[in-house]
Amino acid sequence: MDNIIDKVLKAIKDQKPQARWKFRLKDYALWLAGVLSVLIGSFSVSVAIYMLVNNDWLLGQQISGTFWAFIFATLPYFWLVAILFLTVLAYYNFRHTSEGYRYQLITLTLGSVLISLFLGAVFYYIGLGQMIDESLYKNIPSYERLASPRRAIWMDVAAGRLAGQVVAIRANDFDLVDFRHRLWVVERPLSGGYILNRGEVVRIIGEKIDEIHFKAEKILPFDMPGKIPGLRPNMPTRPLF
Amino acid sequence: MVLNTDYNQKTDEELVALTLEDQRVFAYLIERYQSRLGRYIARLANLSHDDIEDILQEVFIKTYGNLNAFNPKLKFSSWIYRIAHNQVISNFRKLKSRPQTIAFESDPDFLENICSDFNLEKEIDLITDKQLITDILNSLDYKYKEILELKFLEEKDYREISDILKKPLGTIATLINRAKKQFKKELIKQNIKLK
Repeated sequence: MDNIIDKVLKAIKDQKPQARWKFRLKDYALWLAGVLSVLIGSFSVSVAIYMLVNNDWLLGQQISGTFWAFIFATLPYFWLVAILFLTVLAYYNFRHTSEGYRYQLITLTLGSVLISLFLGAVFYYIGLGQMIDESLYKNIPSYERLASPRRAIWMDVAAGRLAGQVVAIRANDFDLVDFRHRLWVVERPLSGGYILNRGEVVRIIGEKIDEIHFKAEKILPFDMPGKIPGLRPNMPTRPLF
Repeated sequence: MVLNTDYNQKTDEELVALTLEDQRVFAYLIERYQSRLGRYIARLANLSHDDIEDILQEVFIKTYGNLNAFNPKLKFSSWIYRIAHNQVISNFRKLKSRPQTIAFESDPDFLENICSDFNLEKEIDLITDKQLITDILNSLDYKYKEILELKFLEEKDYREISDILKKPLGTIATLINRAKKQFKKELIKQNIKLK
């Protein structure tokens, strides 16, 4: 090993140490990816809270038979998996920053989860959860099937459930475009009661008559604008399609 | 190369800064670490002298190439040990084999350190039991052998081991405890008395 100094100096003679900015850039990129994971995780939390708060808890047993069956049918699985995935991603990124190895798995994951929950609650409160859900629904054709169990539940016309946007109102019936962009003529309930607005998104309990006709027994707003935090008050008049 | 004694007075961190200005100063860092790292690599990897020297050269070349990545919050020694550790692991992967032997017997202080830490009775016959203890250590899982080497042969503290292996302090403490437990279990099996 006597000549190792000479050998190494000879080997590095024409080399220069890699620039400091390259190492910094890598570290900053990992920090940025970690922060983005937490931020996107927070958006996912806000949508999950929106879905849970805005679920049909009072109609649960009527819809699914039992309360637990209703919970299993309407949990926002897509968003829960997204939160889990983003937490793992945040952990991976923070763990690989220059000093990330100093923190325990539990510290990094719990830290990411708590920040995501806090920011997610804030985002939900300012209406971002609903905005993201609706925006994805409008722009991604299979969103309702993949990530919006509540919409899927209200598309089960055979079971007497229909939901969509009111596009035309007449004396005894109204036209409704459902979440799969199909037009329905809905017969109003005899008892009346609910005042419809054009453009409003409603859910209806009733009976399918044929491929385009549905008889309503009960009409309810799809969301409860202004009644619970996280739902924007101007919601009924916003175009859905 | 003739070494300038003035440079020998400088800290590792000062030598790193000077190396970035003048490549020749790197010789002083090599001089400072070549024996220690050579022994460390030899203990980790059961390789020939030439192979160890090749790994050592590679460690110094990588250290120089990544000198700007050195974080002054760490000890330079922890950082260069980390590079050595990674190079040994990378060498194992290249050979598609796992390390089989750690040559614990090569350091006379080791037995004393481990006897003291494990509360082995003083009357233990160091000469007779040296081989036995070495055999016990070699029978431990690789991760435990490695951590015991850093703790008792290299005499690194928890923070340094954490920086070398890139694991949290808590994990290092757990690994050391588990290594000690496994070691004690083997000692008892071999009828070596504990205090």
